[in-house]
Amino acid sequence: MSLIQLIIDLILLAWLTILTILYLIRRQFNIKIVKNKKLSKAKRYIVFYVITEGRVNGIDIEKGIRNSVKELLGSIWLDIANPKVILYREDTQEGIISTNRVGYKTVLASLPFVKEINGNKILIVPRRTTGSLKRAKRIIGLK
Amino acid sequence: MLVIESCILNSNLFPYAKKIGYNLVFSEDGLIGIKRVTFSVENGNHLKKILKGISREHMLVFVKPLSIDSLKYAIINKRVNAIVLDDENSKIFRKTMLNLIRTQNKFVEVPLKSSKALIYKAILFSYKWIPNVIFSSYAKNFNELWNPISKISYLTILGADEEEAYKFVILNPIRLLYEFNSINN
Repeated sequence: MSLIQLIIDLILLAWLTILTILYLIRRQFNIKIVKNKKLSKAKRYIVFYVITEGRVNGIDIEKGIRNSVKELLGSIWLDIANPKVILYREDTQEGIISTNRVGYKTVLASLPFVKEINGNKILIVPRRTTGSLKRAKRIIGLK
Repeated sequence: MLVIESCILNSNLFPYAKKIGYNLVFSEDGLIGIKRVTFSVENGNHLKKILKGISREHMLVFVKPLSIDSLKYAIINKRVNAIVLDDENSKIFRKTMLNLIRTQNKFVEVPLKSSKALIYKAILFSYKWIPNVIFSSYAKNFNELWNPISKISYLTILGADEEEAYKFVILNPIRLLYEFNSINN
């Protein structure tokens, strides 16, 4: 009986020792666990409007924005930010760019570098950045 | 809130500037907003002659010095409201001159058309020496204008804190205007 008790005590001691060692190692190397990985992937929607002399479409605007992001910070940041014009209203010349929380500043900074599309002078002006597509649509007057 | 674009080269751009979020502009032709003039000067005597020639009317005087002598004179002279730093004259902004700018509390303007390296350098200068830096678009056409949000994001990407970027874009032009008005009134 006492032998069984001794074995159980030894197992418990070994288990506690392993736990203590793991705890100390983690403290020593200051390992930070990312609790919510989704935060860095959270979507951001930039509502913008366009001032232009002629007519432009959403695809050309997206090409222009992607080129300017690439020109400003290179292809790595283009892949990170991955800006896409998901909605563009040609009647009001307003639209929505989808990007993420990490790259939205890159997209905002690169908008003034889009100066010409298909020979038309263009100025893309960000109006508001939001985390919800529903709200972004409401801003440009869509339900 | 008052948001000022500190340099447009063509007053016809004011409606566009207003549309993208500015209330006031400093324009080179002076038809709309507050008139500003920019002089490129080779030496101190040249600047003296220019400053004698201009009347003391309501206009902001910006000087782009091309030599250390002219830079020194521009910093000391009270008639000069701000000094322009760009790719052409960045080499003359040495430590002694930067210290002089700090002691005289002078404004320094950097065009956003300048290279990214210079803008990065200006941001570094602002942390150590020049607290009053302004970033201007120097727009001739409407597509060269920079909106305030993009300006702040651009400066943040190039190494400025968000608070500092806000100061460069929003607060410093207001301070320049305030100083200009207090001298003239």
